[in-house]
Amino acid sequence: MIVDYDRHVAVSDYADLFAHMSQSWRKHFERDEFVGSVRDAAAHIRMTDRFGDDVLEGSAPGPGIDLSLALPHQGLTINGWADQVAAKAFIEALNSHSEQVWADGRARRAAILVTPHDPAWSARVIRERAAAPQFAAVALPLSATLMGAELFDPIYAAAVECGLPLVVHFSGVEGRYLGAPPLSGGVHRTAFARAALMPQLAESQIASLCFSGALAKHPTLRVLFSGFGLAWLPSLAWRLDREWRTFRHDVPWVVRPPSEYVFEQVWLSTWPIREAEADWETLFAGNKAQTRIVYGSHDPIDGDTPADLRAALGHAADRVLGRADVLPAAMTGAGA
Amino acid sequence: MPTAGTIPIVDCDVHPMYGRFEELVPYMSSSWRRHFADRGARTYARARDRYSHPNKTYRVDALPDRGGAAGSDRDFTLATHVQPFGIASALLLPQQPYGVTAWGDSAAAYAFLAANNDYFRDVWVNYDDRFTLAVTISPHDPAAAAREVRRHAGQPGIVGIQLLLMDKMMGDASFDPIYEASCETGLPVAVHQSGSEGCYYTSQAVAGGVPRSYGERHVVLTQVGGANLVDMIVNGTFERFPGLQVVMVEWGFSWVGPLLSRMDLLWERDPAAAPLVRKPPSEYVHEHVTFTTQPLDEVESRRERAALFAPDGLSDMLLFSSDYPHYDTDDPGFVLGSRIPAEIKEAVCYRNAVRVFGPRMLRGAGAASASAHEGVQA
Repeated sequence: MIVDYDRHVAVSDYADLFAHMSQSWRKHFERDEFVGSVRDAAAHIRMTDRFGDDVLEGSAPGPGIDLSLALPHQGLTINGWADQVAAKAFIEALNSHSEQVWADGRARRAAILVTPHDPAWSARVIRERAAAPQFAAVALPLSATLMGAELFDPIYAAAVECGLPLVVHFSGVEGRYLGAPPLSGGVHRTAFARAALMPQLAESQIASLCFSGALAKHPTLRVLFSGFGLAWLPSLAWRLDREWRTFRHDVPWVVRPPSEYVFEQVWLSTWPIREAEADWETLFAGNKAQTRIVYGSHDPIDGDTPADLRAALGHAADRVLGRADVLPAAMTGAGA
Repeated sequence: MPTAGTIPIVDCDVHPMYGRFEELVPYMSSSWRRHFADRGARTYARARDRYSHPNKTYRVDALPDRGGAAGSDRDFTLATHVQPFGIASALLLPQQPYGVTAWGDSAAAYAFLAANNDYFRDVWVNYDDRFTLAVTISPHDPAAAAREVRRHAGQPGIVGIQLLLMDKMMGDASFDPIYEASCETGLPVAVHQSGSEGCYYTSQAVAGGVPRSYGERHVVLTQVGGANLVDMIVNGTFERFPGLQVVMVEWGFSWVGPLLSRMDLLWERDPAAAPLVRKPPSEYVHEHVTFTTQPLDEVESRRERAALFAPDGLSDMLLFSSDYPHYDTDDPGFVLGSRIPAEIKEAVCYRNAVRVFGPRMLRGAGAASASAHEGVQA
């Protein structure tokens, strides 16, 4: 079974979401600038400085894909919103849209959008929606608080209880909008630099999840970092273990080398696979890190097909394409 | 004593300290003496304002017999680090100046930095020719920084520039006077993390937010090195300064290969997104940037070690460093004996350093040991 863990979906008109909002929130969002900003939200996920990209709606799995996990990326951009209360009305409307339009509970499933700014509310949303077969994961936008913080425990507890993995994908406004997480260094003025450095955002979250003990505390929590590339994982694993050896008495709740938690509970999706093409054999062959890599097309945005994976990774591609252990086993037929 | 045939070692990261503030006083005007007497001077890496180290930031066995702080006794450093390992040249990167990255007063910062530079030149570099010094400057005032570089250039044992980083990244055009001075004097720019990263608005951050503990911060501190590398490439620094050499000290290097692959791919897909970049980004790094070895990633297996040293061109980009006398010193005997692949050992031990810093990197006894080694090789 080939699962595409990184299938992007978007509305072409925010007015499509009004059916899922109360009258008062509809009045709030029914303004030209909001309704007209859909294209900007589509551009964010591309981290481009050009606006006016086509909005690429749709959720049909690509050819040869048995199951795709839809990520409504417009909902991720709430990590750059000023009004985090309105943000909840917005992502819940997207969740309802996912349930009705983007996901069918069979080959098309979606991630439940939640917010890092209200973990208790997010935990309720997860528990309310998890039973619907349309949903297969929880998408947590990144805030400027690293994911290891205890305040996120309700979200992790709900995800674990419902058997759903967390999916983390940048929205594209990181390092750009105040309130969204910073990138490393100072202020990067080009989309090129932000895109080059985006993987570090996943590195920091993983370091935080390890060192703060969140992965140890929630041993069945599964976290997929999607869209961040993958070639950096071995380097991060080495650094995590080295610092843990030096400082483990400072973090006594981390009882094993951090890479062991990563190699059990964290996955990365493949896009863009070509950045790992030349180094795959050296970095991943014979390394536990390779067991963490799952296929994510990033379609319909500059996506990689299964054929692209086979071209880049050779015979190793089939193991990556066949890896379905992130999603609940009942959905993938694993262990059935 | 190193015997003929032993590979000479250039250690590109040794931290000396002045003992008491009074030792700097002869190198300051009377008004600055009064200023610092009244207000004190906040020094060292300030990470511990936010991240207290669970032990000590220095090696306890580096505390001098005669008292004082680790790194404050030149004879002790010679006797316990330079001499036993046969180090031909120890690049001194004074660490007390790292504190100025959190200072607001630019003039005070320069008075303090200039006094440090003069002190370490007189008291360390002129004392033993195995000590070499990078002149410390900060971005507070790039014109003053360039003047300070030129003031020291050409003196024996002055081999480079230690550029401290504050909020602006290295591709910012405000650094151009510094790079101009660097190219003019042939003194490479060494950049060492100052400890302020991720602690202040006046410093650069790690990605994602504020790490919780010292170790967690240390895992991702490497990112700041990567950010500055990207910033220099994207902003055309190396196009403007084709002779510029940058030495990244203590930022690690296992992240470099993946970052360069990603940048090359992004550039190939959309070169117009980075209009000042004229060739594959990795080429700039191969031509202009070197990385020190400490802290060396502790890979587990032979296969992982092969992966660590696999990236294209890495053998020309690595300089040995120990970070003596800090808690995470890489022991030269251990690292060079069993961790650096034999085929790149000469390059990492000293050839790359001499290429980047020039022949001035080896003086006196250090130069003699290098000649002896080369003689045996020839």
